[in-house]
Amino acid sequence: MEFSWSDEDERFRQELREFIANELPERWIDLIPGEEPASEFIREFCGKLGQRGWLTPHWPREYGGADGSAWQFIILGEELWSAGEPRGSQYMNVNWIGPAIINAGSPEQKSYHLRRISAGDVFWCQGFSEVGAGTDLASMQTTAERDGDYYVINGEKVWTSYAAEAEFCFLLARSDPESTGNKGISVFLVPTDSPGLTIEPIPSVLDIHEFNRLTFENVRVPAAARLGPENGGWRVVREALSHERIGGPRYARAALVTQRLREIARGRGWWERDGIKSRLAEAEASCEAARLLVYQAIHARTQGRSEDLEVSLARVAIVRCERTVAELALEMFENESLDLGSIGNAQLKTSMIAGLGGGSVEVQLNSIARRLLGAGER
Amino acid sequence: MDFDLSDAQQTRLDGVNRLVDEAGGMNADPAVLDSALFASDVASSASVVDRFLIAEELARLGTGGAFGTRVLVDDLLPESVPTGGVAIAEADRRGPVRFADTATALVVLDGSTARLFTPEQSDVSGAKTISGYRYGRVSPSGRGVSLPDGLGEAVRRRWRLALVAEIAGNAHSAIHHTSQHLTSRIQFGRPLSSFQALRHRLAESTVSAEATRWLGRDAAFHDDTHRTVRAAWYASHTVAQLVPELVQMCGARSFTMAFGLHTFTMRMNCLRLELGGIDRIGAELTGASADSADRALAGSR
Repeated sequence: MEFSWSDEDERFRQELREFIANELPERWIDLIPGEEPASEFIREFCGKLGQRGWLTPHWPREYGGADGSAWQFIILGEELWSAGEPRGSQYMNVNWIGPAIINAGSPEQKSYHLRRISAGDVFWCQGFSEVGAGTDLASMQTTAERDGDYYVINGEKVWTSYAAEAEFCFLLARSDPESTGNKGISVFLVPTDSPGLTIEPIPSVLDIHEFNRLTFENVRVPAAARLGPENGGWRVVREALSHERIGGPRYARAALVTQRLREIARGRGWWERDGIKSRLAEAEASCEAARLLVYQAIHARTQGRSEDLEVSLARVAIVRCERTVAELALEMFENESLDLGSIGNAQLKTSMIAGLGGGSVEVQLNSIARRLLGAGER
Repeated sequence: MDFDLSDAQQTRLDGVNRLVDEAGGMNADPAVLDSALFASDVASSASVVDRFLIAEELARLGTGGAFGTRVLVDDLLPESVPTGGVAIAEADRRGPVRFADTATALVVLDGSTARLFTPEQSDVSGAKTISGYRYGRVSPSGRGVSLPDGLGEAVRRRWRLALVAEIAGNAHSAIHHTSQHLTSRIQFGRPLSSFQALRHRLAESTVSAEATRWLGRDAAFHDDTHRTVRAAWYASHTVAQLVPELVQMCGARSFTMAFGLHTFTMRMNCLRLELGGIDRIGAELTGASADSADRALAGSR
């Protein structure tokens, strides 16, 4: 048992911090991750990360990585998420879209997509949720009908983040019309400029985040755009999403926000307000709890073991810490938090996303319970 | 980073399990088990995190002796302190002191200072308390022996680590006990474990228990005061949430000796109260954090 960093990982974090300090405009520090999902600055910043092998350090060298450890994956996430996530939506490429292509892609898909992802010059979105299939993703109705060397896609995906700027959509569709549940689903890597695909924003209360509706009307994609076996997409996406659940190390940013709240509490003379110190302690402890549970999951990954339980435990702890920090901010700032752009307002919105982004946290509770109690059939 | 037990740590814990088995398992006489543990080499050349693991394991196995506390503070005490349990108390807190009626030494912490008393220098009487451990009421007489400067903080840190370790071990077994109940108890014609309301609550409890364990192990590995206070806050808070949750899930039988959950829940209550309230620990943690803040960049708008 060992709770200290290797020299190599320490050095990686330090060099990364110096790089961020030199390359990142000051405005980024206050951005909420995802608030600026795609821009020329992001493309440039990711390109520089890619040139150093730091965009995908944990990927195999043959796919544009540096054969780094899973620890470097989480260090990268912690440092960039804490700095407003200057990879924008490209964090998804690094965390799970790329790994899914590594695991299931054809040589051509690997050659084309992984090179672009590791170079930092492509934006993606994910086409998962539908009006009738949110947490119950296996109920999706979007279809992909085989037509010779093509598939014809019809259906609608909703609440899709980052779609307006994306060049590709990582799409789930039902390729076997007779199937139900998680059978008969395939993954497609669909260019967003495909004829018949329309993208429109869905108005929401979250001004820090954009949601979109993707409508597919007879969208023809070549069979070569299918990722993994026909009707075998569920396994591809399941493995990929285990990376996504702890991919955004929200606890790292929440810990820094807690530190900022502590300074503000002192600076504004709120130090002796009832309950403030205890709530600051709760925020700090909950962020560190999430950090250690994430590290436990990363350790399982480095050992090549199943990390399902550890990931679920970590995800619940991450959601808790973001909500705790948000509640603390609201408690401290009270109606100041109504101001758009204020720290309380930003934390409120961030915490609202926490339990849903990357999948509903209740699914993780189900997963933990299954390990403790079995399937729980009636 | 390595979250697995080393071979040497596993060997130590195997030794602990063997001794507990030989002494009668969770029903072992604490005095008999402590004697066996003190006579063994399970803590020989052990690091702080090794000792944390021993204390955690003893609690997980349902034992209620004094070895877990002593093993964590032992290297800080003068060699003259005889083998056996040690009782630790804060000067400004009242109430019964765990193991005081059987301890070979009493340590009284007062700010950063620590004073050591022999049983002869203390007026000790047994105290009847809620189930869990042996307790005594103590009134030290005289000034005892002052431990060297700085040891007060070190003893408090290790004492807290012992308490966090014991909470982590008890929490693990309490959750296991509750899981067994939920899967075996049939109500409304189906196992309780089929009700999602209960499944989610047990899952939430497990997250807290796991986090308590890792925060404590991390703090022990670094033998660091700030990390320990943080782990102590989390552990105390976890008990406050966990005990009523598990009792609620198990129903009225959880009050009975026969059911056995009380072994873990009542001990967690004892340990939490010994750690101190979350407001007290929270003020200490937040004060220390404010003094050591070195990087507060994000979320400043």
